[in-house]
Amino acid sequence: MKSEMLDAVDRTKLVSPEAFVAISGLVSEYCLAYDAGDFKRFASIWTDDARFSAEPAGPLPVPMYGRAAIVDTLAARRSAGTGRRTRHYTLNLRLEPRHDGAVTGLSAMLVVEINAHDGSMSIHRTGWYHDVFALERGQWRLQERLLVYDVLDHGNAKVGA
Amino acid sequence: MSAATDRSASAEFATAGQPDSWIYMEVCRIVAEYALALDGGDFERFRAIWAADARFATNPDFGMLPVPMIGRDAITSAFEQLWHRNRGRGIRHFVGDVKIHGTTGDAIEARCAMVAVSDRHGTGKQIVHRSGEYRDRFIVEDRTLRLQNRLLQYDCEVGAPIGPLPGLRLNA
Repeated sequence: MKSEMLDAVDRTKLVSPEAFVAISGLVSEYCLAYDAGDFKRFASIWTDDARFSAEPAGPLPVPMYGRAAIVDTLAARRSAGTGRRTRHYTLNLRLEPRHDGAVTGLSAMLVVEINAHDGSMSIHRTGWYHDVFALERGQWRLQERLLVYDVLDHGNAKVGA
Repeated sequence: MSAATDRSASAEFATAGQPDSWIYMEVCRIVAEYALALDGGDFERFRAIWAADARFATNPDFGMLPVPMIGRDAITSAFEQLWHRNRGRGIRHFVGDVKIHGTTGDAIEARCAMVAVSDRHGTGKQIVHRSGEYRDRFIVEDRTLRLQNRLLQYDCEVGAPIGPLPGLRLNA
Protein backbone atom coordinates (compact mmCIF):
# COMPACT_ATOMS: atom_id res chain seq x y z
CA MET A 1 0.00 0.00 0.00
CA LYS A 2 1.94 3.00 -1.23
CA SER A 3 1.58 6.71 -0.85
CA GLU A 4 1.13 7.21 -4.61
CA MET A 5 -2.56 7.08 -3.68
CA LEU A 6 -1.98 10.43 -2.01
CA ASP A 7 0.02 12.03 -4.81
CA ALA A 8 -2.76 14.54 -5.36
CA VAL A 9 -2.79 15.60 -1.70
CA ASP A 10 -1.25 18.95 -0.82
CA ARG A 11 1.47 17.89 1.61
CA THR A 12 2.59 21.41 2.42
CA LYS A 13 -0.17 21.45 5.02
CA LEU A 14 1.07 18.27 6.66
CA VAL A 15 3.92 17.49 9.03
CA SER A 16 6.48 14.97 7.86
CA PRO A 17 6.15 11.33 8.91
CA GLU A 18 9.42 11.68 10.83
CA ALA A 19 8.06 14.60 12.85
CA PHE A 20 4.75 12.79 13.36
CA VAL A 21 6.49 9.74 14.83
CA ALA A 22 8.83 11.79 17.01
CA ILE A 23 6.09 14.06 18.37
CA SER A 24 3.72 11.13 18.95
CA GLY A 25 6.48 9.68 21.09
CA LEU A 26 6.74 12.89 23.11
CA VAL A 27 3.04 13.08 23.95
CA SER A 28 3.09 9.41 24.93
CA GLU A 29 6.18 9.88 27.08
CA TYR A 30 4.54 12.81 28.90
CA CYS A 31 1.85 10.41 30.13
CA LEU A 32 3.97 7.31 30.65
CA ALA A 33 6.79 9.06 32.49
CA TYR A 34 4.45 11.13 34.69
CA ASP A 35 2.38 8.13 35.72
CA ALA A 36 5.54 6.10 36.37
CA GLY A 37 6.99 8.92 38.45
CA ASP A 38 10.07 8.91 36.23
CA PHE A 39 10.91 12.59 36.09
CA LYS A 40 14.26 12.07 34.42
CA ARG A 41 12.37 10.79 31.39
CA PHE A 42 9.70 13.42 31.91
CA ALA A 43 12.36 16.13 31.76
CA SER A 44 13.66 14.87 28.44
CA ILE A 45 10.52 15.83 26.53
CA TRP A 46 10.74 19.60 27.20
CA THR A 47 12.80 22.33 25.58
CA ASP A 48 15.06 24.40 27.82
CA ASP A 49 12.70 27.37 27.50
CA ALA A 50 9.46 25.39 27.79
CA ARG A 51 6.23 26.91 29.08
CA PHE A 52 3.37 25.11 30.82
CA SER A 53 0.00 26.53 31.72
CA ALA A 54 -3.45 25.30 32.65
CA GLU A 55 -7.00 26.66 32.57
CA PRO A 56 -8.32 26.81 35.19
CA ALA A 57 -5.11 26.89 37.16
CA GLY A 58 -6.30 25.06 40.25
CA PRO A 59 -3.45 24.36 42.67
CA LEU A 60 -0.72 24.63 40.04
CA PRO A 61 1.40 27.82 40.01
CA VAL A 62 0.90 28.52 36.33
CA PRO A 63 2.26 29.67 34.02
CA MET A 64 5.55 27.88 34.60
CA TYR A 65 8.64 28.77 32.60
CA GLY A 66 11.63 26.57 31.91
CA ARG A 67 12.14 22.81 31.97
CA ALA A 68 13.41 22.69 35.55
CA ALA A 69 10.47 24.62 36.99
CA ILE A 70 7.94 22.50 35.11
CA VAL A 71 9.51 19.19 36.06
CA ASP A 72 10.05 20.10 39.71
CA THR A 73 6.51 21.42 40.12
CA LEU A 74 4.79 18.48 38.48
CA ALA A 75 7.00 16.00 40.35
CA ALA A 76 5.97 17.62 43.62
CA ARG A 77 2.35 17.58 42.51
CA ARG A 78 2.49 13.87 41.81
CA SER A 79 4.22 13.10 45.11
CA ALA A 80 1.44 14.91 46.97
CA GLY A 81 -1.24 12.65 45.55
CA THR A 82 -1.54 10.03 48.26
CA GLY A 83 -4.15 7.32 48.17
CA ARG A 84 -4.54 7.40 44.43
CA ARG A 85 -2.67 6.93 41.23
CA THR A 86 -3.47 8.14 37.76
CA ARG A 87 -3.24 6.85 34.24
CA HIS A 88 -3.00 9.57 31.59
CA TYR A 89 -4.01 9.01 27.97
CA THR A 90 -3.40 11.40 25.10
CA LEU A 91 -5.64 10.72 22.11
CA ASN A 92 -6.94 12.45 18.98
CA LEU A 93 -3.53 13.95 18.23
CA ARG A 94 -3.70 16.51 15.43
CA LEU A 95 -0.45 18.11 14.25
CA GLU A 96 -0.04 21.05 11.88
CA PRO A 97 3.16 22.70 10.65
CA ARG A 98 3.72 26.33 11.61
CA HIS A 99 5.37 28.88 9.31
CA ASP A 100 8.49 29.09 11.48
CA GLY A 101 9.20 25.36 11.38
CA ALA A 102 7.53 24.56 14.68
CA VAL A 103 4.53 22.23 14.86
CA THR A 104 1.29 22.98 16.68
CA GLY A 105 -0.67 20.19 18.29
CA LEU A 106 -4.15 19.70 19.62
CA SER A 107 -5.13 16.52 21.44
CA ALA A 108 -7.57 15.15 23.96
CA MET A 109 -6.62 14.18 27.49
CA LEU A 110 -8.22 11.40 29.51
CA VAL A 111 -7.11 10.72 33.07
CA VAL A 112 -8.27 7.61 34.88
CA GLU A 113 -7.93 7.63 38.65
CA ILE A 114 -7.04 4.44 40.50
CA ASN A 115 -7.99 4.33 44.14
CA ALA A 116 -5.02 2.79 45.95
CA HIS A 117 -7.21 1.41 48.74
CA ASP A 118 -9.77 -0.60 46.81
CA GLY A 119 -8.41 -0.56 43.24
CA SER A 120 -11.52 1.06 41.87
CA MET A 121 -11.11 3.21 38.78
CA SER A 122 -13.00 6.22 37.55
CA ILE A 123 -12.62 9.07 35.11
CA HIS A 124 -10.69 11.78 36.91
CA ARG A 125 -10.36 14.48 34.26
CA THR A 126 -10.73 15.13 30.58
CA GLY A 127 -9.52 18.09 28.62
CA TRP A 128 -7.43 19.47 25.81
CA TYR A 129 -3.72 19.84 25.26
CA HIS A 130 -2.78 22.82 23.10
CA ASP A 131 0.89 22.33 22.25
CA VAL A 132 3.82 23.78 20.37
CA PHE A 133 6.69 21.48 19.42
CA ALA A 134 10.09 22.72 18.30
CA LEU A 135 13.40 21.30 17.18
CA GLU A 136 16.10 21.78 19.82
CA ARG A 137 19.60 20.53 19.05
CA GLY A 138 18.14 18.35 16.30
CA GLN A 139 15.46 16.72 18.47
CA TRP A 140 11.73 17.43 18.62
CA ARG A 141 10.74 18.72 22.04
CA LEU A 142 7.64 20.10 23.73
CA GLN A 143 8.02 23.87 23.95
CA GLU A 144 4.56 24.99 25.08
CA ARG A 145 1.66 23.15 26.65
CA LEU A 146 -1.66 24.69 27.62
CA LEU A 147 -3.93 22.24 29.42
CA VAL A 148 -7.62 23.17 29.31
CA TYR A 149 -9.87 21.08 31.54
CA ASP A 150 -13.36 20.10 30.43
CA VAL A 151 -15.21 19.83 33.71
CA LEU A 152 -14.60 20.89 37.27
CA ASP A 153 -16.09 19.28 40.32
CA HIS A 154 -19.04 21.34 41.47
CA GLY A 155 -17.88 23.73 44.17
CA ASN A 156 -14.34 22.38 44.06
CA ALA A 157 -11.67 24.07 41.99
CA LYS A 158 -9.06 21.39 42.57
CA VAL A 159 -7.75 19.94 39.40
CA GLY A 160 -4.97 17.51 38.69
CA ALA A 161 -2.16 17.77 36.18
CA MET B 1 16.83 -18.19 13.95
CA SER B 2 20.12 -16.51 13.01
CA ALA B 3 20.56 -12.77 13.35
CA ALA B 4 20.66 -12.38 9.57
CA THR B 5 17.45 -14.37 9.12
CA ASP B 6 15.83 -12.46 11.94
CA ARG B 7 16.67 -9.13 10.30
CA SER B 8 15.33 -10.34 6.97
CA ALA B 9 12.08 -11.52 8.52
CA SER B 10 11.69 -8.23 10.34
CA ALA B 11 12.21 -6.25 7.16
CA GLU B 12 9.62 -8.34 5.35
CA PHE B 13 7.15 -7.93 8.19
CA ALA B 14 7.70 -4.18 8.19
CA THR B 15 6.86 -3.74 4.53
CA ALA B 16 4.54 -6.53 3.42
CA GLY B 17 1.01 -5.21 3.26
CA GLN B 18 1.78 -2.37 5.64
CA PRO B 19 0.38 1.07 4.92
CA ASP B 20 2.70 3.79 3.80
CA SER B 21 3.50 6.23 6.59
CA TRP B 22 1.77 9.09 4.76
CA ILE B 23 -1.46 7.09 4.51
CA TYR B 24 -1.37 6.10 8.16
CA MET B 25 -0.59 9.65 9.24
CA GLU B 26 -3.38 11.15 7.18
CA VAL B 27 -5.97 8.67 8.44
CA CYS B 28 -4.86 9.39 12.02
CA ARG B 29 -5.19 13.10 11.37
CA ILE B 30 -8.74 12.82 10.05
CA VAL B 31 -10.08 10.54 12.77
CA ALA B 32 -8.54 12.88 15.35
CA GLU B 33 -9.99 15.92 13.63
CA TYR B 34 -13.47 14.36 13.69
CA ALA B 35 -13.37 14.04 17.48
CA LEU B 36 -11.62 17.35 18.18
CA ALA B 37 -13.86 19.41 15.91
CA LEU B 38 -17.02 17.67 17.10
CA ASP B 39 -16.25 18.16 20.80
CA GLY B 40 -14.99 21.69 20.22
CA GLY B 41 -18.01 22.77 18.20
CA ASP B 42 -15.82 23.75 15.26
CA PHE B 43 -18.13 22.79 12.42
CA GLU B 44 -16.11 24.49 9.72
CA ARG B 45 -13.28 22.07 10.42
CA PHE B 46 -15.75 19.23 10.97
CA ARG B 47 -17.31 19.82 7.54
CA ALA B 48 -13.90 19.83 5.88
CA ILE B 49 -13.15 16.22 6.78
CA TRP B 50 -16.06 14.85 4.73
CA ALA B 51 -16.31 14.13 1.01
CA ALA B 52 -19.19 15.86 -0.73
CA ASP B 53 -21.13 12.60 -1.10
CA ALA B 54 -20.21 11.24 2.32
CA ARG B 55 -22.40 8.80 4.20
CA PHE B 56 -22.72 8.38 7.97
CA ALA B 57 -24.62 5.63 9.77
CA THR B 58 -24.72 4.02 13.18
CA ASN B 59 -25.58 0.54 14.34
CA PRO B 60 -27.78 0.41 16.26
CA ASP B 61 -29.70 3.62 15.69
CA PHE B 62 -30.17 5.20 19.12
CA GLY B 63 -32.40 7.89 17.65
CA MET B 64 -29.97 10.73 18.30
CA LEU B 65 -29.25 11.36 14.64
CA PRO B 66 -31.32 10.91 11.46
CA VAL B 67 -29.19 8.02 10.20
CA PRO B 68 -28.21 7.13 7.61
CA MET B 69 -27.19 10.60 6.52
CA ILE B 70 -26.02 11.35 3.02
CA GLY B 71 -23.91 14.34 2.01
CA ARG B 72 -21.37 16.54 3.78
CA ASP B 73 -23.86 19.33 4.50
CA ALA B 74 -26.53 17.05 5.94
CA ILE B 75 -24.02 15.29 8.19
CA THR B 76 -22.50 18.54 9.42
CA SER B 77 -25.88 20.14 10.07
CA ALA B 78 -27.16 17.15 12.03
CA PHE B 79 -24.05 16.96 14.22
CA GLU B 80 -24.13 20.70 14.82
CA GLN B 81 -27.72 20.47 16.05
CA LEU B 82 -26.80 17.54 18.28
CA TRP B 83 -23.84 19.48 19.66
CA HIS B 84 -26.09 22.40 20.64
CA ARG B 85 -28.55 20.03 22.33
CA ASN B 86 -25.75 18.40 24.34
CA ARG B 87 -23.80 21.49 25.39
CA GLY B 88 -22.69 21.44 28.99
CA ARG B 89 -22.80 17.66 29.31
CA GLY B 90 -19.03 17.31 29.21
CA ILE B 91 -19.04 15.03 26.19
CA ARG B 92 -15.64 13.99 24.93
CA HIS B 93 -14.85 11.49 22.18
CA PHE B 94 -11.55 9.59 22.35
CA VAL B 95 -10.29 7.75 19.29
CA GLY B 96 -7.43 5.28 19.18
CA ASP B 97 -6.29 1.92 17.84
CA VAL B 98 -6.21 3.17 14.26
CA LYS B 99 -5.73 0.33 11.77
CA ILE B 100 -5.55 0.59 8.00
CA HIS B 101 -7.33 -2.43 6.61
CA GLY B 102 -6.61 -2.02 2.93
CA THR B 103 -7.44 -0.24 -0.25
CA THR B 104 -10.20 -0.67 -2.78
CA GLY B 105 -9.60 1.16 -6.02
CA ASP B 106 -8.92 4.74 -4.99
CA ALA B 107 -10.27 4.32 -1.48
CA ILE B 108 -8.59 3.52 1.83
CA GLU B 109 -10.45 1.48 4.40
CA ALA B 110 -9.64 1.77 8.08
CA ARG B 111 -11.06 1.10 11.49
CA CYS B 112 -10.52 2.66 14.89
CA ALA B 113 -11.88 2.39 18.40
CA MET B 114 -13.96 5.05 20.11
CA VAL B 115 -14.92 5.73 23.70
CA ALA B 116 -17.16 8.65 24.60
CA VAL B 117 -17.50 10.05 28.10
CA SER B 118 -20.05 12.51 29.41
CA ASP B 119 -21.41 14.13 32.51
CA ARG B 120 -24.83 12.74 31.66
CA HIS B 121 -26.19 13.12 35.19
CA GLY B 122 -24.99 16.72 35.61
CA THR B 123 -22.98 15.91 38.72
CA GLY B 124 -19.65 17.17 37.39
CA LYS B 125 -18.42 13.58 37.17
CA GLN B 126 -17.92 12.09 33.76
CA ILE B 127 -18.67 8.46 33.06
CA VAL B 128 -18.18 6.23 30.04
CA HIS B 129 -21.16 6.96 27.85
CA ARG B 130 -20.58 4.89 24.72
CA SER B 131 -17.88 2.78 23.13
CA GLY B 132 -17.59 1.30 19.70
CA GLU B 133 -15.73 1.15 16.46
CA TYR B 134 -15.60 3.44 13.46
CA ARG B 135 -15.47 1.64 10.11
CA ASP B 136 -14.30 4.15 7.56
CA ARG B 137 -13.61 4.69 3.90
CA PHE B 138 -11.44 7.58 2.74
CA ILE B 139 -10.95 9.08 -0.71
CA VAL B 140 -8.90 11.96 -2.11
CA GLU B 141 -11.08 14.92 -3.07
CA ASP B 142 -9.86 18.47 -3.77
CA ARG B 143 -6.26 17.46 -2.99
CA THR B 144 -7.23 16.34 0.51
CA LEU B 145 -7.96 12.92 1.96
CA ARG B 146 -11.58 12.94 3.11
CA LEU B 147 -13.98 10.66 4.89
CA GLN B 148 -16.49 9.23 2.43
CA ASN B 149 -18.20 6.60 4.53
CA ARG B 150 -18.35 6.17 8.30
CA LEU B 151 -20.26 3.47 10.11
CA LEU B 152 -20.26 3.79 13.88
CA GLN B 153 -20.71 0.32 15.27
CA TYR B 154 -21.57 0.61 18.96
CA ASP B 155 -20.29 -2.17 21.16
CA CYS B 156 -23.72 -3.37 22.11
CA GLU B 157 -27.33 -2.47 21.88
CA VAL B 158 -28.83 -1.37 25.16
CA GLY B 159 -30.56 -4.35 26.71
CA ALA B 160 -29.46 -6.74 23.99
CA PRO B 161 -26.77 -9.39 24.03
CA ILE B 162 -23.50 -8.61 22.28
CA GLY B 163 -23.42 -10.47 18.99
CA PRO B 164 -21.22 -10.55 15.91
CA LEU B 165 -20.59 -7.14 14.41
CA PRO B 166 -22.12 -6.62 10.98
CA GLY B 167 -19.74 -5.77 8.21
CA LEU B 168 -19.24 -2.31 6.81
CA ARG B 169 -21.60 -1.91 3.88
CA LEU B 170 -19.72 0.53 1.71
CA ASN B 171 -21.85 2.32 -0.85
CA ALA B 172 -24.95 0.80 0.67
